[in-house]
Amino acid sequence: MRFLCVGIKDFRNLKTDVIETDFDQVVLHGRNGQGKTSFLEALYTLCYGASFRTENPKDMVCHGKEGFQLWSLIQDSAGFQRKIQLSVVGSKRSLSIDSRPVYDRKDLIFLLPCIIFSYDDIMIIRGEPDQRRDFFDRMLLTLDMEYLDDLRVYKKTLKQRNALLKQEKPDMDLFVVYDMKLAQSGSRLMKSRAAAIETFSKGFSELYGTIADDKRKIEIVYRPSWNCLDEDEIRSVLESSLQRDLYLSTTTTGIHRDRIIINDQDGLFINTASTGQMRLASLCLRSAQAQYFKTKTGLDPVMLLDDVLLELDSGKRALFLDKLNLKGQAFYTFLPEEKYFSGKKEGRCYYEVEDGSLKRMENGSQV
Amino acid sequence: MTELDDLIKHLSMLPSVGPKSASRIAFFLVGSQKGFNESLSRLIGEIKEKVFPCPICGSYSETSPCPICSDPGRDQSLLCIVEQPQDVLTIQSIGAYNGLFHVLGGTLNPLEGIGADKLNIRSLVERVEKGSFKEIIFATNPTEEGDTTALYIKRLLERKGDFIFSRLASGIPIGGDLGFASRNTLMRSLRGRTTF
Ligand SMILES: [Zn+2]
Repeated sequence: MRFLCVGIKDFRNLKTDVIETDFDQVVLHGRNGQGKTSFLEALYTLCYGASFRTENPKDMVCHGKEGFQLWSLIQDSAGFQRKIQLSVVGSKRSLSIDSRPVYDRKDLIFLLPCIIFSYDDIMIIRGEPDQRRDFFDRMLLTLDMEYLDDLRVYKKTLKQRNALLKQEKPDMDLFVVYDMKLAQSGSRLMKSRAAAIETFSKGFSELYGTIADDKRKIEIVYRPSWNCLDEDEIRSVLESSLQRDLYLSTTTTGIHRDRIIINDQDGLFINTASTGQMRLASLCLRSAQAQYFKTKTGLDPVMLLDDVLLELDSGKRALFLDKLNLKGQAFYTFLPEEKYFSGKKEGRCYYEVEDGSLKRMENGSQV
Repeated sequence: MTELDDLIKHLSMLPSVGPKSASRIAFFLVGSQKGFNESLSRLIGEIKEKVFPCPICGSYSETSPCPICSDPGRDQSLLCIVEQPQDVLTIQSIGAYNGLFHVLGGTLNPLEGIGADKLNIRSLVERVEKGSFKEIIFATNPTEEGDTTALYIKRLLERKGDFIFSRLASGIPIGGDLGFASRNTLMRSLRGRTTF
């Protein structure tokens, strides 16, 4: 699975161009603000139809333009060449695969999975519970179409139920229907989350133990909001909290209130961890995600590593890359003064990114 | 030219007519053959008097009740529930259904302020209570709102008697290839599979 070449038009500050990417490793280097992250964002958007930096596609349109276009020739997991085209004009997004229009993002998500390592990932460790829920939801929905389906049903139903809670004289019969749907989709989502987090935690803990100079044993714990898995039991939980929900005008129980906690032996990891340790933990989260993906599908996702090796010293960096054990295609960004890979390697390509354009370099300016 | 602008503005309010098509239609009307505009405006002017919702099923009709509701040859034990009057035409055009219809006029949607009181649900319950229906077929759209509305009505009708409830199957198109079905379609047809 890989990007063979990528076409870009009016996307962020990137110059309109076609970039050759048929290499195992693509190294982008340049100063901040020149377009390195935007290029990774373009790749991510081609994989999933949406960005990791913004929820509003308009943000990705080059200043002063009406929309943007991205396209790519890729090699899918079966080794076939496919063409992905995506354009956003105003608020309208259109997507096609092999020149056939695709109306549901679902058909794209499984074509070329990628994992982004971003500097902001520390927020998954340090941020609010919804950041960790989002992290696991995004991971699971790229693995399991039923998870994606159930999550859509759950979220839509929750919105409608909350709207109904705000009404002056809500229709009580309608709550019964919404509760039924929340219980049905929610119990399946809970089961998937519980199973995934248990396996994931083992890999994560092991990675952190190896890479960090930290004796602490850390683990990820799932604390669901509903303490039962049975649909009928969940329905009675929802029914018994209806009065409180009505009073507060929002649904107070459910998988949207699940907590996912990172603990060491003494309690919350973030209470005692340094920023460096948290950053390392966030790197390990992404690496564990890649491992988990590989275990579940047997496939090597495309890796997008944005500025994340910066804070690792050379020993840790080697250890990290060794543990990551990249078999699939990888894209890295580096600052100009940063030491990156040295020397020439088969299948590695260097680009210099300046003012939105990518210039191919022979060997990279070896440091 | 304010008259022309006004016409274009009105035309562009029609469904699937954008400003470009609206001005094309307007210019066509300006240059149209004698008599065409007169008969068109007469038809438009009278349409709401001539065609109105059937008081029984809610489908559009020129007679009251509509030809379907007043046809004793139709199977009085079958009731098909749809969202819009157009859906009746669509199902009718296949010619494979000989029961009766009920048009809801939309779906339950608290986010848009649409509750049961804004749909033809009360008339449906009364109709079912008085009628001799054995089977209720839900032909609402395969959306979350369509699904919710079907479940809601099913609950209401379950209290009124012992009916067989069924739902339109959704799945792979006939003559279609599994490999070309969208993942969504495949997923739905797998979940809604039938015994064989
Ligand atoms: Zn009728």
